[in-house]
Amino acid sequence: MRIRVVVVNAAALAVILVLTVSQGDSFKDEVIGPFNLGMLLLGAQGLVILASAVLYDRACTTHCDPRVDELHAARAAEVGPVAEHGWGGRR
Amino acid sequence: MNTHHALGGVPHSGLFTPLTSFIFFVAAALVVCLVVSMNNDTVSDFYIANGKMSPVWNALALCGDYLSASSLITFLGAVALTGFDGMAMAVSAILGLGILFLLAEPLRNTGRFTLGDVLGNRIGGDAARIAGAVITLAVCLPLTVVQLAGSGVATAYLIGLDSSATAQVCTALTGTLMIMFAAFGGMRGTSVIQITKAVLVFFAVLLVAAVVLHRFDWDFGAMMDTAERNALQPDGFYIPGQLYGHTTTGSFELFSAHLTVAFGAAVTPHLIMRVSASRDGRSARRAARYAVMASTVFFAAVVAVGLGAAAVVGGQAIVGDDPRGNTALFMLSGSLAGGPTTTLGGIVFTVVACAVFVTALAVVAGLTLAAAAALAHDIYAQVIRRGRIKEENEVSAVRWAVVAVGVLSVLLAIGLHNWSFLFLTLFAASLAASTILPALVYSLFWKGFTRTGLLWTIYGSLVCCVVLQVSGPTVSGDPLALFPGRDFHWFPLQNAGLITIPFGFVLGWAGSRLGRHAPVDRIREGEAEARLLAGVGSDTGTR
Repeated sequence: MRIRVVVVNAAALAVILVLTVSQGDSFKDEVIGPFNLGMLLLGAQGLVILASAVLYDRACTTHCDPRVDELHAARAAEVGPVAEHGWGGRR
Repeated sequence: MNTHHALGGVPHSGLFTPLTSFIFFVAAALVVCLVVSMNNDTVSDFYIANGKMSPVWNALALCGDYLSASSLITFLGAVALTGFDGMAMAVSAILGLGILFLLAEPLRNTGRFTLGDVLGNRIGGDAARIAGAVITLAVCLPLTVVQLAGSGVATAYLIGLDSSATAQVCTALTGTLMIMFAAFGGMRGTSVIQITKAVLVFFAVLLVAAVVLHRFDWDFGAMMDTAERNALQPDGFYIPGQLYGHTTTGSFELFSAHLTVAFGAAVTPHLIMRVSASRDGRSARRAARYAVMASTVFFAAVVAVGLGAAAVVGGQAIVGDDPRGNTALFMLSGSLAGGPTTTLGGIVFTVVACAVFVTALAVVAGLTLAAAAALAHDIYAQVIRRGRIKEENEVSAVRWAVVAVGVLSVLLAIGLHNWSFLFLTLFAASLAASTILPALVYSLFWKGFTRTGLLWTIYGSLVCCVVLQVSGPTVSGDPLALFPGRDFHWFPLQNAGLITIPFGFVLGWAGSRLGRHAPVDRIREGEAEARLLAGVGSDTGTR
């Protein structure tokens, strides 16, 4: 999962950089409303980063956290429960 | 004295002038910091706020740690002066937080307090811990000096007395506040400051963005067109190449700068300590996710404000005030809503002034705490005292370390006040990207990583960064270099990350393959896996 996030974001960065070097002059062409090609590409890269963070976190919640809970439960059975007290959160 | 819009020069009557509001804000922040940190009795309290911060609070604090004064002032100035290149840098900064997001959960599970803990837990022995402490100091100290000097200049500018002597006095005062925040507050106190700063900075940037867009009747296209017309180079404002030129070297420089910003900002030692303040791995991951989301909004607003500065103030006026555009935000906020002499204009300018000051203050406090923790925890408590030290003695040691690091930073910032700090900034960023990132990635995710690989990565990349940075145009051969009158540079790039980052990864791999594979590495692999997944055993620490 982590590798997929890295690959997607690396690909997005590489595409932007290659286009920056090869097609830079066309970046000022307006594509949608006032937004030019360069701004749309950067916006797309920002969205890729944001979406991959959200999707990765959701996938971890679904697939990884239950396994971590099992490990903690096994650990608690061995050494006893650990007191939970928070700062700005659940106590 | 700058005549644009100084806090002290605003003719407001009554108690709540912009200047008194500014002083009141700083005093209130200090009192709150001291109150919340009264229970800093244990090392865990002092270093990581007992590791119990909720995701939302830690996300705000993470934003506060990540968004330095350079994120606010430099990126905004870069957008105002170079258009597309500045916007691309802002996106790279978001990418940096995305990288930290991927590392946050294993970092929280593996480490205890410091970078030295993370490396020591994985590799074992004093060498790994010392290497972590060395690189923490090598990254934090230059960044602290740069931020302190910058905050002194910005504060002097804001109160309208931007002479060299005033800036040095402001640097000393900022440094004193920084030492008090870090020494008395520890992680709890700095967390409060970071959270306050994040909220204030977000509010300030969004407020300025809203006011500047209102000036263009909420027509973003009209603002973009005006920004292009008033830009320093109108024809090329929205195409790449304004920052470093259209040459081959310029293209490599741009690529290298993106790599350095994205990889260097992600793994600075104070961010690693910040991640450790989360309750557990999933809280750290969640906090980093929220921070990515918040910083995306923040940098979008920075881009809007940068374009607004180009449109309202104009590129020529910005360059005339500061060649790097670092005063673009002040110039814009001083010219909005009728200027600081009106009520709304005064509010806008005061909010921006407080945001910039507390931004610099909060970041230097975090950096100082990280550097002091490396000295007190990694070197003194774990290496010299072999872990046999009472908690109250270690807390006392780290407070004194804060004072030592703080005083040294303040003296360096004052002594080097008139020198170019570009060298130190780029050196620290490329060093973090070239040493800490490879060391963390290999430590967390590669079972074959050995002590030899770690030491090759840390010390080999350190030497490489020093050599290339000293041999580059930030030190000589350029009017803005450290020694503008001399020219001994042979390396063409200001940002050495294009070479040093791959070099760091190669050294780690080569050292692990070619060097001695110590038995301790193999024994610890299973233990490290349990810590990586669930954090089992990380709270005990391992020497």
